[in-house]
Amino acid sequence: METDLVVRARSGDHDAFAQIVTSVARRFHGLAYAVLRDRTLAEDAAQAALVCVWRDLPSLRDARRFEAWSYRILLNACFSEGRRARWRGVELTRDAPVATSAPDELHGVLDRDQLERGFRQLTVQHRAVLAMHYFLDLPSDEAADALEIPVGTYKSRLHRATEAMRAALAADARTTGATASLEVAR
Amino acid sequence: MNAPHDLGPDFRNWMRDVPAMPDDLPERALRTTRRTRQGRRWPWSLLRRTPTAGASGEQDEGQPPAPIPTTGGLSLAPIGGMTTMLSGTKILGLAAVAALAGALFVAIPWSPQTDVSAPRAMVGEPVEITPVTGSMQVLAQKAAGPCEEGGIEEMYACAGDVWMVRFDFDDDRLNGLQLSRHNRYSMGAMGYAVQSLTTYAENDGGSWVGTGYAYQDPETTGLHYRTVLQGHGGYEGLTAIINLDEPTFGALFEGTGVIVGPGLPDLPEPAPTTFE
Repeated sequence: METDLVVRARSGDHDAFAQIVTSVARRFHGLAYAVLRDRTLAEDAAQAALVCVWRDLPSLRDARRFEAWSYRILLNACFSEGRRARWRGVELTRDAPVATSAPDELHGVLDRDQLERGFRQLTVQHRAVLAMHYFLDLPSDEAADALEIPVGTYKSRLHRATEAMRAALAADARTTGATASLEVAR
Repeated sequence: MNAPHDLGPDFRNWMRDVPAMPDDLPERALRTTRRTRQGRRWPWSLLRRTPTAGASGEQDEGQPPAPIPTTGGLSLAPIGGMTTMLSGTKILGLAAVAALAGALFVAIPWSPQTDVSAPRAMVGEPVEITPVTGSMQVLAQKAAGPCEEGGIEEMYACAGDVWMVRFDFDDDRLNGLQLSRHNRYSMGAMGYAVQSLTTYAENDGGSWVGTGYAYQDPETTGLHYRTVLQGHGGYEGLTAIINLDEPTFGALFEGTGVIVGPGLPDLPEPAPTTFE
C-alpha cells in the first residue's frame, strides 16, 4: 500500500480512499471468509471494516502501519459478525465447502470436508490466528501487531489453535468413522 | 519439512481457496463512506456510533453521520438524531437493569441472622478448601436449532445449545473434557446475554455434575461463566466452585475457583424479610 494514498485518505481525500478500497477489498473479503466460513457474514464483515477504516483513518498516526492496522479493524469486524451470529443462534456453518477441485478427486474432497468441519469447531479467535498464518502468510511480528498482542502470545495462540484444529479433526474422524486421510505434519 | 506447528500444505491450500468477492462490494462500501464523516481524535469516543453496513447495502439508508466535532472536545448529540450509542432501547434497558439492581439492594436484610443454627459442616470433620487456577477452552459449540425471536430488537431465546469445553487447571481433579447444555437469552442490540447451563465432566479420578450461569459483558463481549460442580465417584462429597471470564468474544476463559470437601455448609433457612 502506497503511504501517499493513505496520507491523502487520512486527510479526507475520498478518491484516494477509493483506490485503497480497490486494492484491499479482495484481500479483506478473502480473509473475512477464511475466518468466518460464511459468504454473507464475510461480505458484511468486509464492508463494515472498509467503512470503519475510512471513519477511523484520522486516528492512524503512522501511515506505514496501515496494513496491520486495517487487518486489526477487519478482524474486529469478523469477531463482531461472529458474535452477532452467535446471538442469533446461527452456526457459522451454512456454506458448503468451496469446491474447486476436480470432481473425481474424491480423496481431496473428503479432506476438504473434514477440514471444513474441523475448522468450524474452532473459536473465531483461533480461526483468526490460523488465517493470519495460513491465509495471509504474515510473519509472526506483523500478525502479532495486527492482533495487538505480543509476539510470544501470538505464537502460543497459534500453537493452541493448531492443537485445537488437530483435536477437532481427530474428533471428526472418530464421529464420522471416516478414515482421516489428511496427514497432519507435526 | 514443516515446522512443528504446521498443519501442512493441504490446510494452507484449503484455507486460500475462498469464493470470489462480489463485484459490487467495493462500490457498496464506498457509497456508505461517501456519507460517513471521518472521525477525529477526541476523548469522548463512547459518543461515536459504530457504523454498520449490511452486505446488501440495505442498512445504508439508516446510517447516521458521525458526530460533528466541536471545540473543547465535545460533540453534538441531538435528541432524536441518534448520533450517540445510547439509543432509546439501550437507555430503557439500562434503566430497567439499574432499577432491578436498586430494588435488590434495598431488599437485602442487614440484621444478623440470630435464629439460624450453625451449619453442620462447621461442627463436623474439617473442611479442606483447595484454591485452583486455570482456563477453559471452548472446543465446539452446537446450536440446537433456530432461536425464537423476542419482542426487543435482536432478542433471541435459544434452548439446548451444546458446548464441548476443556478444563485446564492446576488441579488434575478438574481437568478434562466437559459437555454442557445451555439455554440462553441474547439481546444482540444491547449486547447483553444470559445463559443457564448444566454440565458434565469425567476424568480418570471421577466425575462432576453441575449447574451454572453465564452472562455477557456488553463492553468486552466476553462471557462471565459461573458454575458449581458436585463430585461423584472418586470425587464424591467434593464441590467445585468455578469462576471463569472470557476477556473478549472467542478468547480463552480464565479464572479461579475452589474445591471444597467433604461438603458445603447446609443452606440456612430463607433470609428474614424484616429489618428487626
